[in-house]
Amino acid sequence: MSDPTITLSVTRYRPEQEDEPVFQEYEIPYQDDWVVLDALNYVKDYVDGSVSYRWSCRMGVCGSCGVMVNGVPKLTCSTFLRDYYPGAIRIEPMANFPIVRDLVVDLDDFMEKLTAVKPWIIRDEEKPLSEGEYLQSPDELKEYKQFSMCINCTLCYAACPVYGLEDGFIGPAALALAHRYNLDSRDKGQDERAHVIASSEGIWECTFIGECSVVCPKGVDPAAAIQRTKVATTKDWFKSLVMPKGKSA
Amino acid sequence: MNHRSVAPERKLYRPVMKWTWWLKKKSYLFFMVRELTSVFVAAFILLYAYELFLLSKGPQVYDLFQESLRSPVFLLFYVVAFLFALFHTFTWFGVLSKVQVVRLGKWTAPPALVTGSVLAGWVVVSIGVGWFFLTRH
Amino acid sequence: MYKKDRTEPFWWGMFSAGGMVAALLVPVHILIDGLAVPLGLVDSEILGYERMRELLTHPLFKLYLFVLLVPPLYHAAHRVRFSLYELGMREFRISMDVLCYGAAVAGTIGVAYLLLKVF
Repeated sequence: MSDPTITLSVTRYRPEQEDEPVFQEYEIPYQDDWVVLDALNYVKDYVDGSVSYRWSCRMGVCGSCGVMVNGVPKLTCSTFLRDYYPGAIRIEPMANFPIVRDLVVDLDDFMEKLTAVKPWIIRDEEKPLSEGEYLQSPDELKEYKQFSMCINCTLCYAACPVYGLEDGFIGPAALALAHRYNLDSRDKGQDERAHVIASSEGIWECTFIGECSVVCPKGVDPAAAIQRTKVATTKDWFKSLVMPKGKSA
Repeated sequence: MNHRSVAPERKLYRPVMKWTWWLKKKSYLFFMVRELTSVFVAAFILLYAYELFLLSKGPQVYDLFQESLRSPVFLLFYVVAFLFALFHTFTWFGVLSKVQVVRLGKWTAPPALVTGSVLAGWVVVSIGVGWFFLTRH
Repeated sequence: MYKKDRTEPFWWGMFSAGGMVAALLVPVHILIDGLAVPLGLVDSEILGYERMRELLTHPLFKLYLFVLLVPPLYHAAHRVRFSLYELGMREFRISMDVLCYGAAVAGTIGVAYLLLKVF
């Protein structure tokens, strides 16, 4: 009896030779402890060295290896072949992004949006080094910890129909990270970020479909972050009607 | 130096999203049905407001309309509307725990408690409304 | 480049309030008004002309009806607005927004007129 095999159906897009993506099939050995990344690496090493794809840490922390596996956004390093065997596995580039080559997508749009929300500690005045570090209690850390787990893998963008329909949408990860910093006790940047996240391309585009949180490999729950930001922004808006001098523009 | 300014022009492939995207996945369909519930909510309200309007026109007109509510068409509409209204209630309460974190001092309510409490509150309110309409003379 | 939106919080707030009201009150009302009475499961007099007119003399009952009927209109308007975007209708965005919220405002005026002027 021959060794078990599994068939991968991989998107190929070589802009120098075709105008549209096509599928290429590879039948490779199946091992039940392999992940999709192992399978792709086998293809690249032994079958077809021309396949292009991103990966790095192979352990679910770098966020590099996002693809669509049978139509679902997944990290190749964290997706086991045995969950699909003996069926064929269809591997496509992440949805809602322009395709550069094969499984590699252009993430410039995400990078711009991430930068726009200013995902760093913003202070009115920086403390001089001589005054020591900013102190934070375990409870204060707990406030934002969940939202800090984002590895920028953009699976949430691949899952979000709103981002697919309207690429002006700032998107789940960027909004979740803005929320992470807004919740950080060391941060004073809420008002600065509000211009971006409370713009019409920010939280207001979201209709709480919730798929972003379903596909997130780190349990960040960007959907919850966005809804909570909507609540906070709306509360502030109504408050500012009653006390116009209370909040800054 | 911005390497993009010296890189050769890339030929990116941009997939176009079809308007039928929500038919492609169960969770997307669930979402669309959830949004559709609002149409039935609006229909219920418009019908109720219409009943109030007829109420202002006198007993004959109003009673005639109450009679027409017994027709199969209306009954079918209200059965469907009831199902959609329930779907709204359950999906709405289902997400409240994500939208609002409930705290008392240092204690944070577990999500299941929030959902359970709101559902219990809904049952109480429904019984209250039912009692008010069904027993008052 | 990005500007804080000045009006969305209002519409979202109304959507939220309307959704809460609809979730709490609409099922039981459909059960009574649309099913139990027409099907004869309960005495039809509970929604009878005399009884309803009597109830409508009480300002608190009018207030209850206003809460039942008005916020959910904004909930529906908001959801329909965004559902239209998601069904691909992104052109004529402003006209569609005006139609959706305008319908809710019209409904508000209609209900308020009924409750305040007619009864």
